[in-house]
Amino acid sequence: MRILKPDILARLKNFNFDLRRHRVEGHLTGRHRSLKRGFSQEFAQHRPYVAGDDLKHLDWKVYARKDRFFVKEFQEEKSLKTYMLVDRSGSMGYRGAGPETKWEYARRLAMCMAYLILGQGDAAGLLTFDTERRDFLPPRRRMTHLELMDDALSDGVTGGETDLAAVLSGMVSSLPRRSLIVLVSDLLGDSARILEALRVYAARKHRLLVLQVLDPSERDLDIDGPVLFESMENSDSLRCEVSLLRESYREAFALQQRLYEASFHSTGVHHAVFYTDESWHRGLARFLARQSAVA
Amino acid sequence: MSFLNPSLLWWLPAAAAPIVLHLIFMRRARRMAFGDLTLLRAAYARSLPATRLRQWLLLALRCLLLLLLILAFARPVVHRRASAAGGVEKGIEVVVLLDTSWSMHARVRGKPRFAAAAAAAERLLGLLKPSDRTAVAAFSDGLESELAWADSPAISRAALQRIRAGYKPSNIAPALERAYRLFAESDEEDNESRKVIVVVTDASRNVLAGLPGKGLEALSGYDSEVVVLGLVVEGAPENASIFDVRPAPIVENRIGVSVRAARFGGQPRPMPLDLFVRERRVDQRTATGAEGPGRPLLFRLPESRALDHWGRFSLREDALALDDSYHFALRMRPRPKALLLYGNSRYLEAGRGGYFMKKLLSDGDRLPFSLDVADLGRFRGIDLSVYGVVLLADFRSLPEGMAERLERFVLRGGGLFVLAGTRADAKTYRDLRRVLPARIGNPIVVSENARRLRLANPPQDESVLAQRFRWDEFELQNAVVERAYPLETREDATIWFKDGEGRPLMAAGSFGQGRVLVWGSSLDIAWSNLALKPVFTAWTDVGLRWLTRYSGREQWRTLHVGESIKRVWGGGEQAPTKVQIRAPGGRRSTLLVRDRGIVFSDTREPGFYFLTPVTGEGDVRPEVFAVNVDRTSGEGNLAPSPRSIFHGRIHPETLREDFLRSVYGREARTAALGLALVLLLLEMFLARPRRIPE
Repeated sequence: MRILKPDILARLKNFNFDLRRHRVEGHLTGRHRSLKRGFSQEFAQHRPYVAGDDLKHLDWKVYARKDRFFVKEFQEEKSLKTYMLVDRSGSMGYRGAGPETKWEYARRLAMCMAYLILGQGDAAGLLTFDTERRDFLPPRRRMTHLELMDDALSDGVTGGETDLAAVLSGMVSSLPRRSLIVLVSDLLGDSARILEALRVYAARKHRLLVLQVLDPSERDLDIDGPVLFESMENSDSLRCEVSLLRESYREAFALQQRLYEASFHSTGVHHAVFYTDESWHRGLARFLARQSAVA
Repeated sequence: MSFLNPSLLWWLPAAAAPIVLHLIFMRRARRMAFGDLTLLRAAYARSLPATRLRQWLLLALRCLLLLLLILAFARPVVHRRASAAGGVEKGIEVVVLLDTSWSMHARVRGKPRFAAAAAAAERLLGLLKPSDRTAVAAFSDGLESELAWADSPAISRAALQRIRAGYKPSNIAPALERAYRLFAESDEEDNESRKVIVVVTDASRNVLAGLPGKGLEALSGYDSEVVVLGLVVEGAPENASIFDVRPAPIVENRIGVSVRAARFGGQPRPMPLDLFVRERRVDQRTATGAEGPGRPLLFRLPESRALDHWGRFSLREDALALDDSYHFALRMRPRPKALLLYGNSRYLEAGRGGYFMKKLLSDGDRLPFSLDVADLGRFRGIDLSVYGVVLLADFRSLPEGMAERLERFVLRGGGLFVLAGTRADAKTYRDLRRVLPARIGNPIVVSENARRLRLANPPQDESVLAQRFRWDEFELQNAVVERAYPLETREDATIWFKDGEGRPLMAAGSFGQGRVLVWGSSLDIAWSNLALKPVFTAWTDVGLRWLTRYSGREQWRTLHVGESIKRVWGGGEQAPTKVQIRAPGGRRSTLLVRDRGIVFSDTREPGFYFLTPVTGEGDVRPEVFAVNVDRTSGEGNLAPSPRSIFHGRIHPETLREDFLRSVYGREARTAALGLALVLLLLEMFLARPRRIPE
C-alpha cells in the first residue's frame, strides 16, 4: 500500500477505536448492538405471542404464572457500517508552513481510521468528493478492502472548486441510516451552510466524526509583505498587504473555529482539528483518547 | 531657522522613501496560492477601519522619522532672537581681531599659521551679509591698526588682505577693550544688532596671559551682550628657541656671551647651538634641550681689533624659525679718561691722596679708567672735552675762569669729583657752589666716637656695581676719618657715606647733564686712612663709574622689536651731523643728530640695523645694532593655553557651522534626534506583533 506504509501500520497496532456503544442498523452480525430485536444472548423484552412465532421462543414460566403466551425477545448484535468521506477539493492541495499538503495528511488520516475500523470487524467504505461525489467504495469488512481504498486515495487532489455544503447535502440520502460517517475535510467555505448540511446527518441518526485538517498558515497567516492570493479552487484572487489584515484574519479564523466547535458540541458531532505541522500519530492518539473518554 | 550643513537638505526627498517602497512592493506583490479566500476577504473587509489607519499612521511615522534624521544631520540652528524668529533678520556687528604676534609665523604643514588664520578670517567675512557691520584690526601686544566700522564686509576683506604678521608678542586684552569701546560707541546709536567679536589667533599661552584672572569680565568696557568667539588656528605646539643672550665678563681680551636655549613641548633632546660671527660659523655647543629655558652656555668671541662685534646664534630650524636665531651686537668702548687736577705741589707725594689715586688708576689693570694728572697752573691748556671726569683735589683757590669752565663741563655731561685737601676752608669752594651738591664748611676734628665710616645711601644698581660686590664685605668700620669738612647738602643731593654721628661725609648730585661727587675729607693719611683700606678701590671705582656713567667696556647693542635704537656720542667722540640707518629688508632712513645723539624707533623687524654716520669724509664703518623678537614674553611657547575665555570656539575646518551656531542661535540637532527617537519608539509600539487570538 502506498499510504499505509509499514511504519504507519506498526504504529497503528497500538491504537484502538472503540465504537461498541453505537447502535447500528444492518444485516450482518457484528460487535455492535442493533436496534432490531433478534435472537442472541442478550435479553431485550417480552411480547405477546402471535401466530407464526417460533414456539421455541415461548417463555413457559410466564405462561405458568399468567396463563397467556409471551415470547422472549433478545437484542440483535449487528456489524457497523462506516463511511469515510474525504474532501479532495482544490483547497486540500494547499501546503503552507506544514511539511505536507492537507490532502496528503487527510488521506493518511482516513486510511488509518479505516484500518482501525476494519481491524475491529466493522465495515468501512470510502467516498471522495470535490464538486460532486467522485470515488465510492461500499463498506466491506475485509481487510483487503484497504487496498482498494489505498488505490482510490493515491491520486492527488482534483483541484476543482467544492461547495462542501451542497455536496454533503447531496450525499446524505444515499447513505443508510445510523451509519458512522467520518468526514475528513478542511471545512473551509461557508461555515453556516456546512453546519446546516451536517445537521441533516445528525437528524438521520448518523454518528458523525469530523476530522478537520488545516495548514498552520491558515491559522496564523504568518506571511510577510504584499501578496497576491490566488484561490486554489477557482480563479478568485486578492491583492493585499498581509500585515494589514493579519489580525483581522486571525480573528475571523478563530471565530469560525469557535462556531464549528459550538455547533458540533450541541449536535453531538465529534470534532477534531489536525494541523499538518503536527505528526499524524500524535493527533490521532489525542483524538482516539478523547473518543474513549466520551464513550 | 538655518542649517549648518544645508547640503544634506538635498536628501529631504528621501523622507518619502517609505511611501515609494510601499507603492513598489504593492505593485510587485508575490503570487501565492491559498486554499480558500473566504476568510481572507472577510478579514480584508474588516481590517479597513482600524488596521489600515494604523498602517497609514506607521507609514507617516516612518516618513517623519526619516525627515527628522535628515534635518538632524543637516544641523538646524534655531534663531534665538525674536526678530530673527519673526523673519525680520537684522544685520549683526562683527569685529574681527587678527593676531599678528610673532608666534603666528610658526608653520603648520608647511604653511604659516598667520596665512591659515588670515584665510579663515577671510572665509568668515565671506559668510556675512551686506547688511552686517564689520570692523577688522590686527593686534599683537596692542592694536596694530585702527579699529573702525567698515561700510561693508567686502571692504573689511580688503583691509584684511593688507595685514601682515608682525614681530611683537601678543596680549589680547588691549584689543578686546578697544573692541568693547567700539560697541559701546555704536550702542549710543540705539543699535540692537547682535554683537560679536571674533579673535583669530593661535590661542597660545601668551595670548591670554595678559588677561586678568577673572577673564573677560575684568576688562574695561566689558559688555555681556557681546559674544566673543575664538577662531583658533592650532598645530605644531613643539618649539625650540634661543631664549636670551647676555654679555659675560671679558677674559683674556675675549668677549664673553652667555646664551640660554629653551624648549617648549616635545621630548627633551640635545640641541646643537651654532655661533656665527658676522656670517662665519666659529663655534658650536650643545644645549641640553630640557623643557623651558636651560642653563646658560658661555661662548667666547674671537679676538678682534674692531670696535663692533656682531653675529648670531642659531639652532636647527623648526616650526617657528623666527626664534631659532638670536642676533647680537656690541661695541667696545674706550676707557673713560680721568683728569686729576691738584693745587698742592706735594699732593702726589707718598701718604698724600694724589699718591694713592695715581697709584690706583695709572696701571690701567685694576680699574677701567685712564688717568692724566695735571697741576692747576696748567689748566688753561687742557682740553676738557676728551675727559669723562675731572678730579679736583687739594687746592686753596681756583684760577680765574676755571670755575666757569668746570661748570660748563659738568653742564654738558662731564663728571666732577671734588676731593678736598688739607688746606681748604669754606671760602675755597664758593665759586663752585652752584655745581656742588653740598656746601663745604671749615674743617673740623671728628670726635673719637664718630670717626668710623658708615654707609648711607650709595648707588646699588648693577651698571655701577659692575663687580657685584657688597659694601659690608670690606669691613667699612675700619676706615676712619679724623678730620673732615662739614657738608651742608642740597635737598636733591644723595648722601653716600656718613660719619659715626650721622654727619654726611660724601654727597652726590647732578648739575645739567653732568654729575658731581664731593668727598668731605682728605685722602691724606693725616686726615683719613681710607686710601689704605681695601674698600678704597671699590670706593673709587663706584665713584668714577657713577660720574662717567660707564657700565663696562662693551656696549650691548642688542634690542627687542619695538625698542628704540639710541646712540649718543660722548666726550672724546666726534658726533656726525646725520646718520643713515639700513634696516633688514633694505629699508633706509636718515636721521639728523641732535644734542649729540639720535633715537630710531622703527625697529619693527628682527635683524641687523646698520647705522652709518654721514660725515662727508669718505669711508666710514657702520655701527651695528641687533634687534630680536622678545622671547622673554613667552611667545615662543606655542602650546595652547589651558584657559579659555571665549564664549565659543570656531574651528577652521568647520568654520561656517561653528560661526552660524554661535552667532545665530542654538543648534537643534539634539532635539531633532530626540524627537526621532520618540517617533522610533512609537513606530516600534505600533508595529509590534499582535497577540494571536485564542
